[in-house]
Amino acid sequence: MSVSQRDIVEVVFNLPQGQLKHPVIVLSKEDAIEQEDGSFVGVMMTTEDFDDEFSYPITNDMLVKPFHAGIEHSEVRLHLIGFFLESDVIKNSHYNTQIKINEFKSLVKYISGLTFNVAIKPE
Amino acid sequence: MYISINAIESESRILERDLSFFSLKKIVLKFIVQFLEGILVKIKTKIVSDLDRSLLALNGAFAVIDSYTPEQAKSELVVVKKVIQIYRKANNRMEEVKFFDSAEIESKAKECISLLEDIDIQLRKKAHTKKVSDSTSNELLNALTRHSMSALSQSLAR
Repeated sequence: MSVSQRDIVEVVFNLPQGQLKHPVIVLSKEDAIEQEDGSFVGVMMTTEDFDDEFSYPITNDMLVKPFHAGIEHSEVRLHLIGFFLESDVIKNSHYNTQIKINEFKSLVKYISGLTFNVAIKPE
Repeated sequence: MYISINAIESESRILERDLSFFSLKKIVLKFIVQFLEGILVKIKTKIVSDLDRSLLALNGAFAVIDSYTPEQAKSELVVVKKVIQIYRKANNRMEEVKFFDSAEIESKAKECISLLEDIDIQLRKKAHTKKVSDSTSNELLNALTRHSMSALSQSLAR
């Protein structure tokens, strides 16, 4: 399964209490993903509702295809960025969709501004 | 011979009528196009003027945010989020019509959203200055770190 920038995929984490699935938004551009055989940089999402500066809610109107009906709330954790292998991605997850281009640009701006304290100006 | 000349004459009359009708249609169409173009110019001028006013107000907001308390910033965040949604919707609609083929409208609309997002980012920083937020569980943070380290190691080993 090849991933693309803006894809929302699910990844398995090994926790002491067992495996935990978490949605991730792919940040890497296609060239970078291809360069590393499908590996990518992604920002984590959660269904928990945090009240802090790193919480960035994702609503269905921000997505190319809406989330599965069972997903009530979803938000990006702007400061939780990781590196993932293509093999980590769960196939046919009900999270599989993509964030729209303008919304993705905004997301990157918020990550940059709030996680790295670097302002991004419009193109 | 007489019949055929008559027929030609008749055909030419039809052609003449059609042509005059065609030119009438052309005049009407031209009028409609000019009328619509006039409306479009007015709409574009109004949008540019609205965007200019928005840009002025948004640029002025940064100085005000500096003086906000975390509580004030938090209450303003709710308003700003709603305003961002309104601007994004308007921007998406204008994008569908290619910003009325106006580079000025496109750049000003994008600048408005960018400034609003900057305001939102500043307000978030202000609102959460003093607050110790609920942090992510240690187990998940450790798992993310291990996961990233392992994925990076595997990628580097290739």
